[in-house]
Formats: sequence, C-alpha cells, structure tokens
Amino acid sequence: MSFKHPADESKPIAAESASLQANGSLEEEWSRPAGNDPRADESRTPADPGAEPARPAKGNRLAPFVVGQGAGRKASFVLLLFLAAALLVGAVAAFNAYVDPYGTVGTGALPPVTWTDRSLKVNLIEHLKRAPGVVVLGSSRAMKVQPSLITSRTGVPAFNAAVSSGKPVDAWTFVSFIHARFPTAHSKYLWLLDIEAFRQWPIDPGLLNTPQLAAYLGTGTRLSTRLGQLPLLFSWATFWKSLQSVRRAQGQPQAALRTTLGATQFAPDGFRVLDYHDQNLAKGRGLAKELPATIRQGIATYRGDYSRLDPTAETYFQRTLALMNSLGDAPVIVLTPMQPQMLATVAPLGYDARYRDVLAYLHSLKARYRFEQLDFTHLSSFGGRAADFYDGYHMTVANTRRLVNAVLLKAPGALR
Amino acid sequence: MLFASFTFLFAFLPAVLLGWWLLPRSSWRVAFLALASYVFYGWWDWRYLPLLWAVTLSDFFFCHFIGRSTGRRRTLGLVGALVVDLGALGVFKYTGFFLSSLNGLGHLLGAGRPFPALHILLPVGISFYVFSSVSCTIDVYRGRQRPPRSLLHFAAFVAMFPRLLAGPIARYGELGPQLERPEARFTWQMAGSGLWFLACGMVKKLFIADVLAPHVNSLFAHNAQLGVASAWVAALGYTMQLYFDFSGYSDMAVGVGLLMGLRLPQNFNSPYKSASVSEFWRRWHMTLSFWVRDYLFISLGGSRGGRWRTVRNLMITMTLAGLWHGSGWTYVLWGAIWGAYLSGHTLVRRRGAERGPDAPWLRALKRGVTFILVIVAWVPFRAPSMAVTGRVLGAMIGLNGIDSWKSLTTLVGWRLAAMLGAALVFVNAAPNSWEVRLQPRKRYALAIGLLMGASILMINHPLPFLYLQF
Repeated sequence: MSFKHPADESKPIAAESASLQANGSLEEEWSRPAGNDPRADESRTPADPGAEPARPAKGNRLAPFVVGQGAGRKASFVLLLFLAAALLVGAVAAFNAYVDPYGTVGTGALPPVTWTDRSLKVNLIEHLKRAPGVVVLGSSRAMKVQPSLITSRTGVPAFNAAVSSGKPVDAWTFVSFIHARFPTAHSKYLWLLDIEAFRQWPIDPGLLNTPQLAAYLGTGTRLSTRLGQLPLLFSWATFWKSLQSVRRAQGQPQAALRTTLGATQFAPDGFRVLDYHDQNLAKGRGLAKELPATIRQGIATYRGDYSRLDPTAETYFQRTLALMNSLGDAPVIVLTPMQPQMLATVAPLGYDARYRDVLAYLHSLKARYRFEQLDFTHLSSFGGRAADFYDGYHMTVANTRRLVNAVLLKAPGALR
Repeated sequence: MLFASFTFLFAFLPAVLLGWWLLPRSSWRVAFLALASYVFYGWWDWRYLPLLWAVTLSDFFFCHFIGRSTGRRRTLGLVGALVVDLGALGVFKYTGFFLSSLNGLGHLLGAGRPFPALHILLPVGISFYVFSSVSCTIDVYRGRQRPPRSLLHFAAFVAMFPRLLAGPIARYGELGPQLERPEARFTWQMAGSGLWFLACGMVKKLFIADVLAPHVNSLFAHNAQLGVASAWVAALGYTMQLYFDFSGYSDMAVGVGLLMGLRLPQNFNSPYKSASVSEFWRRWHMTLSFWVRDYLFISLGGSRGGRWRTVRNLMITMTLAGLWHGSGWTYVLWGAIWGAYLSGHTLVRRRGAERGPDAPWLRALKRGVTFILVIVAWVPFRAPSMAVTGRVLGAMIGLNGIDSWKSLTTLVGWRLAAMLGAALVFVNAAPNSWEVRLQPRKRYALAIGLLMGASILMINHPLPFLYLQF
C-alpha cells in the first residue's frame, strides 16, 4: 500500500505544542529531564553508534549499550555471563537431582522429605520380614480393612496396600513392587474396587514421586512425567528441601520404618489406625455432619465428566489381572459399598449407568482372566450397616469387618 | 506466557532470536516477529487475537485514510479511528464497571430492575496496545508521522511481544523506523546490553517484588487490624512492590528488545528520587505519562487558558489516566488524587523564570514530602475497594490507633522491615538500570551471570506482573 506524506496538509499541532513548551508552561516542565541530576539530561545519554536517527517522543531515551573496548571483549563478556548463569543453575539442578527430595528423578540417594501414603506403604513393605500372604488393594475406602482380621481368619500374614484415591494404576505398581520385593512368594489379592476407579483421572503425584512404584509405569509415562517435573529441579525452593534432606539423613538410617504421616498413623501391616475420620469423630463430627459434604462431592463427580470408563484405567486394570494370574493368583474383586443416602442421591445422576458399565466390563473380562467377583455395592449384600460409615464413602472398622467376613464366607478358598 | 517463565526463557525466546537473526530478508524477519508475537499473545488465550487484529487493521486503515485526505475528511478519519479504538476499550474494559455503577446509582435512587451483569472477556494488555496503536493515527493526523509503510510493519509494531502486554507504550515514530530497517547484524554489544536489562528485570521482579508480595497482600487482607505503623508499612510495601514489579517488567521488555536489536523507550528513571509530584511523572511510567501529556493534556488545551483551566485539564487528564489503569472507583480516586497533587503543584510553583538547583537540604526535604505523597496515593491503587482504601488511609492518619508491639511484630515482622529498609536505601541511593554504564569486564559478566542464574532459580512459582491486569 502506498502512502502520501501528509505533513504539509495537516494542522500544525506539533508546532503549537512546541510553542507552548517554549513559553515556560506546564508542558515544558512535563518534558524537562527529571531532577537536579545532570546525568538525567537526555542530551547526555550516550550516543548509540549504530542507531538510526531515531525520533523518540520528548523525554524518552534509548537504551544505553555496553561501552568499552572491541568486539572480542564484548563477545567474551556475553559468553562468560552465560557461562556463569548456566554453571549456577546447573550446579543447583545437579545437587537437587542427586538428593531428589521430591523423588522426581528417582535417584533415591536419600529418603524423600515429602511423604505420601504411597511412599509410606512402600516403606512399610520394604520393612516386612516375610511376604504377605494376602494383600488388600483399593482406595481410601479400603484403608480401614484390618489385615490382622484376615490373618486371624486365614492364618496367613496380610498387608493393606490400599492408598488414597487408589486407581488401577496404583494396584498395578503395588503388585509389581511386591512381586519384585518377594519374587518367590505367592500372595493372594483382595481388591476393593470402586465404581469411580475407572473415572479418567491423572496419575497421583504421590505415585510418581515414589520411585519404587513409578519404576513400573511405562517408559513414556515416566519420561513425560519426569519431563513435566523437571522444572522443579531448577529451583531454590527444591534446593532448600535438598539441604533439609541431607541434614535429616545425617546420622539416620536410610529408610527407617515410618508409620506416621502428619496426624495419620499406620500399623506396620498397612492398616490406617488413626486418620482424619477418627479425629473428626472425636470432635463430634460424625456421619450426620460429614455426609452432606461427601454427597455434594458425589453429585459433582457424576454431574461432571464421568460419562464413560477411562480406557487407560481399563488397560492398567487388565495388566494387573494378567500379572496376578501369571503369578498364580485369581484375585477377589469386591465392588465397594456406599452409604445408602449417598447411593440414592448419585444413582440417578450417572452412578447407576457407570455401575452397569463396570459390571459389563468385568463380565467381558471373565473369559480372559481368572478372578472372583463379589458385588457388595448394597449394604444388604454383606450385612453392613448404614450408620457404620464416617461419611458417604468411607466405612468404619465395624463395616469393613463385616465385609471381610462376607468375603471369606462367599469365596471361602480364595484367600487361603 | 510470562517473561519470567521457563517456557519463555528457554523455548520461546531462543526460537524467536534464532529466527530473527537467521532470516535473510528484513520483510521476512518482520513477518516472523509479528507471527511470533501472535503466538506469544495467543498463548494466554487465542480468543484475544481477533480484537488485536481488528485494532491493528482499523488504525492502519485510518492512518492511510488520513494520510491521503485533506480538510474535514482527515478529522473524520481521526474520529473513526478513535471510535473504534476507544470503543474497543470501552466495551471490553469498562462495560461491566459502568453497568455496576449504574446499578449502584439505580439502587440508591430506588430504581426498578438492575441491568444484567455482563461477563465480557478482558483481553490482557488491551490498554497498552490500543494506546500504542491509536498514537500512530493521532500522530499521522497531526502531521508528526507518516502512515506506516505496510500492514506488516504496523502489525509487528502493535503486536511486538516484548512490549505488547504491559508496555512501554512505544510510538510508531520510535519503533517503526527500526522495523522498516531492522539491524542487519547481531552484535555482542547489543546482546550484552540486552542481557544486562534482562538480568536487572528478573532480579527486580523475582527477588524483590515477588518476595514482598505475600507480605503486602497479607497486610492489605488484614486492613481492619492495621494501626498507624502497620498501615504505613503496608502502603510502603506496596510502593516498593509495584515499582520493582513494573520496572522489572519494563527492564525485561527492553532487554528482550535489545537482544533483537530493537530499542524500546525508557519507562522508569528512579521515580522515588523525585523532588516534586510533577517530576515524579517524568520518572514514573514515562511512556504513559508522555502519552497522556501529548494526546490528552495538550489536546484539552494544556496550560494555555490560565491557572484554573490548567487545573481543570490536569484533573481531567489524571482522572482519565486513573481510569485507564482499571475499571474501578479506586482507580478514579487514584487519578483524582494525582490530579489534585499536580494542580496544587501548579498553583504554588513559581511561574516564569527558571530557578537554579535547590540546596541539598531543600531537595532532600522535597524528596521526602514527595515520597510520602506518592505512598499515600498508592493506597487506593492497591486497595480492592473504596471501603478498604478508607480503612487503610484512616489507619495511616491514626484513626485505628497505634499498633501494639505484639501486633506490629505479628503483622509486619523483622523480615519485612529489613526488606523495606534495604529497598528504601536502594531506590534512593542506587543508580537505575539505565544509568549504569557497562564495561565488558570479566567480574561484571560473572556478577550479572550469577544474578541471572539466581533469578532463574526463582522462576518456579512466579507471580503475574501487576500491570498485566491493566
């Protein structure tokens, strides 16, 4: 597009403004270099040798340049600057990677400073003297299942490997890890499966940050996760955590048995002895007070994006079944119950549809995998009581005991 | 995409620099810059892009229309451009504010149904790029500027990513010639300067502003508990946070520009060293200050009509400058306070003859008074509402009483006090990033490199630049 210079045709506002400034007006003051400081005088700004004859607005100055000797020195100046920055960043990142306080790299040189129930249960498994005969898998809804009850009823040692928000990927990594830890043992599995276990959900950071478990994720998954967490290494905050790890590790055996996570306490067999539910109960916040919040949560889940079973969750589920079968076990899969009020609320919102999807899915797997299936969705199926819930999802020990007893009754040989 | 992010520093910027310096023809380089700028802007939200394109096309069209026209058609062209530009600002930035204000007024007067609340997406940086774009049209109208050579050059100017989001509000007269004839060769001198500014900006933003931010936020959140001392600390804390945040952003913008051989205008010149409120506006957000002077204050008649007309023009100019910052009554109040300050200064200053430099003690006194006025003015700028503004200002004049030692140590703490002390010394005694003359010595390179490295290690949880909200 062509243009025509309009200067001759326009109203001479520039000249008007200049004349205003020449009369000692406010415009002049607004334009005057700032302060008594003679360096502020714009005419003293060092000239830019290579610059165009610029036309800056009054008062604006162009950036000063590196002054001084020839191009060689300037080149080494820039390169040295880069080198210094890179060395500092590299040194901090290397230290962080070595200490790996969040378990993001997987070097495992020192115990992590951030514990989750996943890393804690791994730690407990590492301290088991003999392989568990029965392993409980599942989410937080299964964490009140007592391994000691199973042991007393079956005569074999049991371990509760359920973790909060446990999904099939967690089951896969725990089964793999337990097999690696006790390669010659033959454990049996009691898998408490939630309908929500097949909801699309990102892999829990607690799993990714537990190197012993993350090792069983696919290389691509692990790599993309590691890459995603790489920026954490380039950080002073991580550096302080690394120093903290080093300080803590001094004079302390590398992987001491850990049974507490904040105020939550675990038994060496993985049972969650004391948790926030118990604390709420002690403060008088029983089922009646906790139920509405979890009902809202359930409504959000089923009104949200849970419209079909997640194929990734299905893949991990089948992979876990295949592994268990290859190790000689046919697991008992128990569909977990909900508090009846909760169930009645979410059933029409999508729970019923997903429940049917899960049943159909499990049915479709029966030809390929060996497993025992028990549907304890409704309390009546195992003699549970509506009052023995902490909230809409989580059973108290009274109900989990009824559930375990029902499992042993309905699948008598499965856990022995 | 934030300047202080790994994505920008380690992926976007290196890719843009490579493309910029490797492309052989200047038109390709400018096209590449425009494209990269759109990617940078669309990274926030691609829905922002159509408005940016619309403003660019409109001003480019009107620039050429005005350039080709004479007489009334030129004025018509200018009016057309202003309608589009200010209309875009009005719709996207101020609709909600005006509707809620009308509803408030209607409620007071007992009117019936309120207007429905509209949730219009506010494109980030709209105030900055609209001002840059419209300045070109006005300059063409005034005969100060030729119309841009091509749409490509104008698009690259309006969208130029180093300054797109929060300025400096460069004019086409400053950047256009640099885009029409970009630096042909990369020079170490430019790279060194660019890295210097980048390092200064990162240190200011990540080491000072972001560290002060949680303390300041906490103090303003507890505005009802503030006593005299803690209220002043809150206001002083924000005074420092805003300066280091915004001047840090500006330094980074200048640095990124220099790495591409483009010189952006200076935006800050040690504003807290000012000895008068008028001087403050020659040092603070200079490109906005000169913009409102050239396109608003002078257009209103400037100081030609006597003292009281000057006062009127100052009040209008500064109130509109306040509204430019944000669609809220606190910003209007902030602008009005500055209008009053500048008007007061106009009325009391000695007219006519130039005075010599002040005696050191007098200048120190003036600096102190100016700084206190500046601190007070930042309160409505930071406060989320007029009620909070009133509470904090009330506390500053003692309406909430004096802090107990316990509440002072709880609310303020030694760490914040020490940081503010150091910041005060820095802004009053240290040269700013434009005043330092770099010699290419090893120890300087090491020091700057280490500072830059240390800043990079702070990037993990950066806070957005404060001026991005405007």
